[in-house]
Amino acid sequence: MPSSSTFLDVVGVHKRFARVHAVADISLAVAPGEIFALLGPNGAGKSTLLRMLVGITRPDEGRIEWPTMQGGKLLAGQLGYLPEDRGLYQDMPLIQVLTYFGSLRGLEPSVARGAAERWLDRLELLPRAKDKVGSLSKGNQQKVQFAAAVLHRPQCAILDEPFSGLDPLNQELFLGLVSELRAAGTTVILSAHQMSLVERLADRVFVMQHGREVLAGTMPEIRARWGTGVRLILVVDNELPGAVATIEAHPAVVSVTRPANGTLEIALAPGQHVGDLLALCAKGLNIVSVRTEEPTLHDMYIKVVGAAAPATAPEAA
Amino acid sequence: MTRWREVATIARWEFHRFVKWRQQLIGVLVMLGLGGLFGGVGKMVSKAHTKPVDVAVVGAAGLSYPLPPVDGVTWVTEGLLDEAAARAALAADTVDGALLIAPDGSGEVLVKRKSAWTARIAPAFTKAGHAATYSQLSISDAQRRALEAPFAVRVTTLETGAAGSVGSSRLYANVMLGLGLAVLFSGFASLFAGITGEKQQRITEQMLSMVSPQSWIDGKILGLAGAAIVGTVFTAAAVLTAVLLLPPVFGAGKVPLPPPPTDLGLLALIALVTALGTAMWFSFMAAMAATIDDPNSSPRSALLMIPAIPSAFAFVLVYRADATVAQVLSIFPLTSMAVLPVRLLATSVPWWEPWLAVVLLALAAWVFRRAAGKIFAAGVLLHGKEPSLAETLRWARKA
Repeated sequence: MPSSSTFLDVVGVHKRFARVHAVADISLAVAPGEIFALLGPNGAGKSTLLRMLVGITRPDEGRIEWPTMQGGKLLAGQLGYLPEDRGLYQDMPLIQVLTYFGSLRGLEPSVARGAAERWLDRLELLPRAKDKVGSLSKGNQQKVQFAAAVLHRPQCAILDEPFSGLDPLNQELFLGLVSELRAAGTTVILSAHQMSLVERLADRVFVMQHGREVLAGTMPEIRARWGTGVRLILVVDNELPGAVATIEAHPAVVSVTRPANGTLEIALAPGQHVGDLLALCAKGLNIVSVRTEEPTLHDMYIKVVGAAAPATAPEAA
Repeated sequence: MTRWREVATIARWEFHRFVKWRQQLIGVLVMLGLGGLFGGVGKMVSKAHTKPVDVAVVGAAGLSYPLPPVDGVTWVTEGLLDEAAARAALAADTVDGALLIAPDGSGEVLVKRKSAWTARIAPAFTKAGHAATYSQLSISDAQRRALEAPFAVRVTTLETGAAGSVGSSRLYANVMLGLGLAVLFSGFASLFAGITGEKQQRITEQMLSMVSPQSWIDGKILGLAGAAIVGTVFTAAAVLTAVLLLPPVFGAGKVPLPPPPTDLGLLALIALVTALGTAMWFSFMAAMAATIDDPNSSPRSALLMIPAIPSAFAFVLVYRADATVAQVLSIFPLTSMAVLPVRLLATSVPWWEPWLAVVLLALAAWVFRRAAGKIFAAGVLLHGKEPSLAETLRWARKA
């Protein structure tokens, strides 16, 4: 049974296409107001799962419920959806497209137009409100698409690859926009490949591969379960013969690599501290600088997904 | 948001996407301009002088009537006594042609190269020959008119009490049917563009997160049919305006408008059948368009021509409206829109026939509409691939 704080409850969901088991026995729960990130390689089944959450397709088995919503269902006006396949009416003016989408989400046309104007202003596109969508750059079209998905202030925003195709500045802009949604009380479920952005944004991540769950939890939980421990990065200008071998033999050390000339990167086992090791390093190395790094989501993703990847992955949407 | 409000919102959007008032107005002005241009050119052509030619006549004495006048032709009868002399004159370009009249009254025209005036010879001589024959028969003008008059017949239908032909009702019904077909064929293009274009632009997935596939397809059908109706009415109004306004400008008389129709019940029935038929064919085309990924390369685009088949039946059956096959086709939903009006106008039909046709047509429109929704819902995510016929039929059966 979902707890009272569950916004979305997915239980034992399966989705099969002709020869592909795209989503296999997925269960997850999303809390209200959190940012929940779906991760996974291409074809992992993320978009298929999101389409089922949106209601475009139905699960073959299992159930999807929105416990806090009336009747356990999410209505069109309560949902905002940014699909992976982006598309807008290229031959129509921005303001009309946004007003239309807002109307279909249940807003009165005048209210939808007001919201559209506010979003265009926020995205610095208000002077082009009457321009046709096709005249905008790809990045600006993506901004309009995002506005179309959320201008009606949905209770849940489902964003499929919101950062793909964006330059770094626009990625930062979208990062801010998604954070604003959460601040306004919207629950955000997104899929993305940009690990560094997800790490900054998501309250919880859920990694899929071949339609199945391979990793889930908050960042601290994931680090505790799958992390490699901290990394010790040393810049040295001299080292005694055999010093690196001595370090590699230390029980806290998982590996020692040289990412650049004069730099040593020492990966520690989970839960190990750098104190003893640092003293050992100082004996054989002339250390110029020292810093430590937490394992990133990218590191853990590569470790988990890479370890599980077969030679050929089945196709899934 | 209620389903009807969804449908209305989509229909309004589609209507405004495809009805461009400025372009419609420009189209009307272009049509009027072209009408004026053709009218002016036509008037110039009608007043153009024919290039005069001299034609030698050999054997005119064999005719029982004098040489008739032919526009642009001057008969040369002096000095050229036989065929050889006429041929020599033709070779020397002294004359433009030679007319050799045989003793039995038939003729042969000789020319060096193809000439338009030769086509005017036979009608002129036929008319002159008939006039000569009538005068030899010594009959009065009244007798002559009686000989030439067609058989006059008046049909009175005792069961309905109607006398004479249905006259203007027939004309207005034909106009209505013609407009219905124009709406169909002009609307199919925008229906295909509206549905396949939206799939190609990847808008459908976002749309289906907001509305049901059935609402989406219903809104499309309503909005695009509305756009086609407006476009057709606009064009018809422009043509009517041109027909009424332009002839007086070029000195021709006014085109008389037929009197208002007398059989309003018949017209209402035909209007109902036309409306239902339009709805059914739009639903059918929407279902077809929902299975097409790229209209530029899909062989299914040829399906646009399917609604032309019933129209062809209607034309064939105009003079065989009493046939059993005409009755069957007037009831069968895929052909009734075109065939039933023909039967209603040309022959007496049992009272139940039009109503059975209307019920079946309405049912077919409903089924096609539901099938379009189901097919669209199932095929919407098939980008880059068209469903097979078997898949399409399986989805349609769910309707």
